[in-house]
Amino acid sequence: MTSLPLLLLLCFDPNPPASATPSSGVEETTPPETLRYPLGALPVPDFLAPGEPFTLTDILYGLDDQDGTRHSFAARVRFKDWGYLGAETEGERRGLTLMTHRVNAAVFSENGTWDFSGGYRGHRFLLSADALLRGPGDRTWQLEPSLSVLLTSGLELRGRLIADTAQPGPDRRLVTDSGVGVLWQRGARLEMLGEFERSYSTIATGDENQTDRGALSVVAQVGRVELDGQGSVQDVEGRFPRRDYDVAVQARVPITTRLLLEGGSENRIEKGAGELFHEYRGALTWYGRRFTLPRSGRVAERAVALARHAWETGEYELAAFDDDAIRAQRERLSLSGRRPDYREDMTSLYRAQVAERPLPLFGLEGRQTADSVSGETVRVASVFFGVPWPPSLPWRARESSVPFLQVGYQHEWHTTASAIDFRSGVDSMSVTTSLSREMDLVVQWSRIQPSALDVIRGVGVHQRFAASCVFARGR
Amino acid sequence: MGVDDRSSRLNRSSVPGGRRRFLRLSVGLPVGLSGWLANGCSSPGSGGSTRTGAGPDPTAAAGDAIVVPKVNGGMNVHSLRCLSCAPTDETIDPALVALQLSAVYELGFDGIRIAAPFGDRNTFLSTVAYVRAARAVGIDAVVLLADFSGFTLAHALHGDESRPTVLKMYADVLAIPPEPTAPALGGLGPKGVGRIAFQILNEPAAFLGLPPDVYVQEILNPCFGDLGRIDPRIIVVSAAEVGNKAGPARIRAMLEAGLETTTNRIAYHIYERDVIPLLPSHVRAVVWVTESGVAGIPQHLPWVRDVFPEIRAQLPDVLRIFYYDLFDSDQGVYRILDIQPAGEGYRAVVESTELHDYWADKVGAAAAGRPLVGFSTLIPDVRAYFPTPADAAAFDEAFAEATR
Repeated sequence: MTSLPLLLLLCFDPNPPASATPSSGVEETTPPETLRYPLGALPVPDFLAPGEPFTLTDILYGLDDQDGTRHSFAARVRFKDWGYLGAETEGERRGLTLMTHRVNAAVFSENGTWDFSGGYRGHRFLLSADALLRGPGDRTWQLEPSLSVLLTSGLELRGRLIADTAQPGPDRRLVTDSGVGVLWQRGARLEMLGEFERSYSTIATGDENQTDRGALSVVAQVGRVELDGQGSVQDVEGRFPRRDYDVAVQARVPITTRLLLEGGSENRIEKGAGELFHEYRGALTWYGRRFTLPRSGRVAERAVALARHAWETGEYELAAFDDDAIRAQRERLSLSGRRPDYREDMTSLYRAQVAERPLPLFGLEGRQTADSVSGETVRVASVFFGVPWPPSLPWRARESSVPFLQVGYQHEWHTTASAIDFRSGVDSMSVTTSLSREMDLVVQWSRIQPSALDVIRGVGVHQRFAASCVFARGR
Repeated sequence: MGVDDRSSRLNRSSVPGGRRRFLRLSVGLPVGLSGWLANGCSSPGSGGSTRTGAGPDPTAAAGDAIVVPKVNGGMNVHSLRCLSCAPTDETIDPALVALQLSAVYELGFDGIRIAAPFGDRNTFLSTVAYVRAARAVGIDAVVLLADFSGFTLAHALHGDESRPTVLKMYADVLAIPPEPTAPALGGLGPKGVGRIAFQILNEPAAFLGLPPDVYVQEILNPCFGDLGRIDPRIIVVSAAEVGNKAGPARIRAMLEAGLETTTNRIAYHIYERDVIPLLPSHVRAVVWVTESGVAGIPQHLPWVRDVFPEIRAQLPDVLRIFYYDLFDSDQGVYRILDIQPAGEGYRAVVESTELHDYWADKVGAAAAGRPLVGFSTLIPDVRAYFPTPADAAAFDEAFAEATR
């Protein structure tokens, strides 16, 4: 059923098959200034412009009516060239944030608990620390210092600790978690992260588990295909020792310039006992214009160039490959004393982002998970349709089209209590409206049938409504 | 299909077709059946036996005779109350109760495990007869608080208001010890009768969708507290998890959620040999294997003779194993015997003869030639242990309050 329209759409694909290298003509054919959004044109921002003295950069409002209405609100401003100040509230959680060129800090409170964080970004090292002061009646702290060292523009060493002044467990241990890691970026096309962690946790019996975990993850762009693999081994020593293996793989394969096939799996296996968990996933997405994987195009090239330039000039930056991380990096660099040096790189990166903006117009996804400990099996099927701006039929989207509307539907089949095959489901609908690159409105509605556990807890059929409005300047 | 294919059989029991409302029994037993069914199946005055075989002869009257030595562990019993009667039929056929209990007694079992479903009034009330009569002859009763289907009981045990009401009703109806039928019954309860244990739900992830930690924290822990206040003599047994390879990870999750401090006995189910080394070998509580068995009659004897000792050797905390099961509706799978209409009563036909003879031989060896007191001598009329109108009223009241 769905393959026929897809084939028809592909017949109208005016572009040749994707090449391994970005099309040099894309950026020039769609300069950001020429694009029209529902709110009008959006020029390339001046990323170095100081606040006057305060310039609004972010606004977020959210509403969630599950288990009572919950509002969230966040706002952030840029103050001259000095930094960014933010304030957030979500339910009972309230906080302030600060980001300057080298220093960041945040403080949040919720129901008597306080969460502090701070960091200093030096030339070749990044020192940060989180501190959680537990709630009323408990004046103990959880402290989490970490240190990262950037040896080259793409090689980072990481180390971290978690200390708990409550000294939990039979050994009254202060340090409950420690870990080291190595991150290696080889250009945009290969990224590897190796980590080792040792942690101590106290189970309900009062006994202590020592958990050693080693993990390796790799993201590689191999020709037209993006491969993502993760593997880990976890050894638990304690009263109930075991060893788990977790392997996850994912591939993203452009079938044509506009059609993307994704597939992946995750399996967690316990030695001797067999599979504890699995997830299988497949998705097919059709785009209204050429689609570029995040590590294969002009954006990837520019992101690497910007990060390398920043590193060479004394900044602590690794290459970032998604819009939010790139934006955060741009904001940090715009506060640097050497910011004029980065203007061209930042601007060309932004232009590349706009040029390679994804325009998803139709997608299907299927997913299946099974957890043998909880006994729950979940199958998910989802579909979405997109409408570009200026509005047109999907196959009439132009190279200058931008995302505008996306309507999605998802159904989940939950099977719990497998011996009696108890089934429940969740229906969800969402509408996302992009008024510009910087502003989105999202509305979601879900109808949730009770699982077996819900029935036991006395929870019946319930609904959830959520809405949010996001403005992010310079995204 | 799934990981729970070998989950507990107890929640799947069904009563086979047949006759109903028999107050008398016949005892036409097939060749190879030991004598334990002879008098045990007979209604008072029905006489005769066709016992054959080399098993013990528990037909002697009291005097120098001894009660049957309890040497064979525990047995899962379904609260069969009538054959092919409608669920709304309140019949409890004493012959069926006596037939199963005499088998348990005379084969030397020290405990029965039997379900008392809150969502099935008539089965609940029939369980009362089994529990009281078993305890009266010195046999422990592990009452499984679980519904055959639905979430009525689990929901009631989750609610802070309904839980004490329901548990008190269970305690009032099932936990009061009966008078012993004879001295020196060998039971560990008051005056030598059997003890009472409540097992809180059955294989909660598989049958109720309860994750292990949720079961421990939201169901078992509050039940343990309430039962301790209601009647501290009641032994609280945690739910076991499935007896295949999916079970040990769930048991471990229960243990890490505090299982050892929220129950008197920890329960395992074992239906696969490979599961034994995966289960925690040392826990801070006594472990009862409340279900263990194997499909297929030829495997029955090797399972009990070889695997039961293996369980005890590898899991030193295991002090008791309940075989699954005495009788159910599936021929040639787990059950030891079939129950068939015969004349105006019923007869028991042993299907798993090798295993039956193995147990009977152990009883005979333990008796060392001494005569054994028969079940019918101890309990001439099992109706003495039937539920009373007050029991039914207590159930109805608790049910109405819990489901309001």
